[in-house]
Amino acid sequence: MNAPTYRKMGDHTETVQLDYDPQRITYAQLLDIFWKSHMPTRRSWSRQYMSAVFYHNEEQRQQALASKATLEQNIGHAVKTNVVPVRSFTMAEDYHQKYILKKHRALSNQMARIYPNPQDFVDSPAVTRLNGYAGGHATADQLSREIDILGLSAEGKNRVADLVKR
Amino acid sequence: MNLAYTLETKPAEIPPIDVAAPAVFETASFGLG
Repeated sequence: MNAPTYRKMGDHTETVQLDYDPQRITYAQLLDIFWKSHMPTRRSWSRQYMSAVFYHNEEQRQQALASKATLEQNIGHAVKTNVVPVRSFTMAEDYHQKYILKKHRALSNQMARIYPNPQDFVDSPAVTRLNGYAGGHATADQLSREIDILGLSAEGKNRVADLVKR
Repeated sequence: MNLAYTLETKPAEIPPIDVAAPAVFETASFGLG
């Protein structure tokens, strides 16, 4: 299937694809987070909800297989998560993108005014970080270090600060 | 990542963290079950 949708996914798998700065975080660190973010010893329920590392090159393949082997050794159990090559990737519909941030309309709308093009909105590091803050994935201390470079108005800064305090 | 923002975005409005973002990222993909 060439153009999967949420309602008609065919043989595609729901996947998180992220662009990262290797100067700030390594692929090995991302793998560590990945192993902690799902249940690697459980067989996947379906193709749609498959646990997998989709590697983009030989280096990623080798690192993924090595970290999988290390995990198996550490936990003494077979890891069922697949390590397979990425073939194609289709962005989910706009309403799935930056989903948590969009629940906070004032903040989301502020960034949408900066980035009226949905693809620019999705690609923005500022929007991505606000989505993380809205999801409770960072501390107030982390926010205080970068709140002035996120492109927010004074009201926007207060709103995101309130979210992080919760 | 596409840093060639569209003309709809005024350069003065782009958040500093986005302006400072590197031009080249690496990509990783994961299925979380």
